[in-house]
Amino acid sequence: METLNRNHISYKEMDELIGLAEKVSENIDTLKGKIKVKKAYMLLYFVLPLWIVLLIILGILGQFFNTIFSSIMPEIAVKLLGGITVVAFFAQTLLKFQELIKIKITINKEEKVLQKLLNMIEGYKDLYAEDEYGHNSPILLKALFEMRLSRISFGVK
Amino acid sequence: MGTMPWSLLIRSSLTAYQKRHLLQHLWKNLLTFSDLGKTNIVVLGRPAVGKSVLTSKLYGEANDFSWELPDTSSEVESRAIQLGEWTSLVRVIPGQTTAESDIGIDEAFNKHSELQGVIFVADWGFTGIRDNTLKESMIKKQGIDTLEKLRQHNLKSELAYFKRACDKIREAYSNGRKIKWVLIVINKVDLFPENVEDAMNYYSLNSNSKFAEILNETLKSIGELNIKCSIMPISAWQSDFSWNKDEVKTNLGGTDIERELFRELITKIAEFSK
Repeated sequence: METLNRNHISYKEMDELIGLAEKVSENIDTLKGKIKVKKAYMLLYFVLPLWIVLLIILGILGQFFNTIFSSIMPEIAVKLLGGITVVAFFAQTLLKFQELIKIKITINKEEKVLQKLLNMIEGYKDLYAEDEYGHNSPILLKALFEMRLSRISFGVK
Repeated sequence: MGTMPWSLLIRSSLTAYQKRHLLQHLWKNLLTFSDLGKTNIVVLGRPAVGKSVLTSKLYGEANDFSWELPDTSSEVESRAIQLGEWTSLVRVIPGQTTAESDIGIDEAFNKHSELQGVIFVADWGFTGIRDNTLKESMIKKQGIDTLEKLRQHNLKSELAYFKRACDKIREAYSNGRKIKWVLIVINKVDLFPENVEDAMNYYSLNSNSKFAEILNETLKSIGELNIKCSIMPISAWQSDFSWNKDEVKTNLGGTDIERELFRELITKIAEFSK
């Protein structure tokens, strides 16, 4: 077996890498949380105009306003108001969709960074473990790294 | 009049019995799709040993022309794979230590009661380093500049990972889970076809290697009669391997051998799962 004569991995290097991975993971988690909120808004903006469209189609709105408020508001105004509301809600849905896409692109970038970091950490971790056994460094430090790594996640689904 | 529904009931029951394997296959696929199924087989191994490729091959999707070699897995992969007559829900745990892999291991070993077997994927030290910065650092700063040094380094890391996997098996047993079998799959044999026997000896229960020591200790603590164990060579994906200035060409000797190795692996899993 060939022997190795090499530089050893310092605690600081490992700590910095894991620290960075923790930050990226936290960011991904926050962004995925934002996506959930945006999806809920989108659903709301999308469902409301659908109901309005349904009501207009059925003529309920028209009939309702004709019988009760015909003197105050003509039928055409009601339909116009309904139309504007529907368009406004759909525009909002589109805007939210655009924001959603932007967040998803950012998440993809962050996930690639995290994957690269984890690949590096995994390699350095093995080297660090060898150093640890060879130089009697505290085993607790390795356990600490493992614990910190097991909290790093690619975010909630 | 009254006999009609009975004959229909008997005929449909008979058809259902005859098609039981297909029905079970569809059911398992549905469970996998909805992510509600319990793990039957768990695939473990260090990053880049070829767990995902092996599973994709067993699943059959790797033979498709549109299939691309996967990158590092970040999530637990689930597949309903037909191994022999019955279909099993196979879960591949990412090799890196992350929350996802921890949850995957915990679910397979501690929460699910239907875990039958563990496939441990090893590669006799031929683990590629996916990150270029790390690769450069390992070669220039750490002095791991030859293939042999890399192999020794990888084998050490594999031992540490294997020990953790064995600890999980023991823990599962102490919690009343009955894992029936452990299969050590030596992947990438296309890179060392002339030394397959050496590799088999290294991973074998009868060898003096540290790997065998850990495996023997685990089997003894569980009770050797309670768990079956075997070592199988495989080549999930044939490709050359290079490290710094060293290069090893893939040389398995044709796809027939690759298929034969897969056939033997599937037969073994089916035999174990009976």
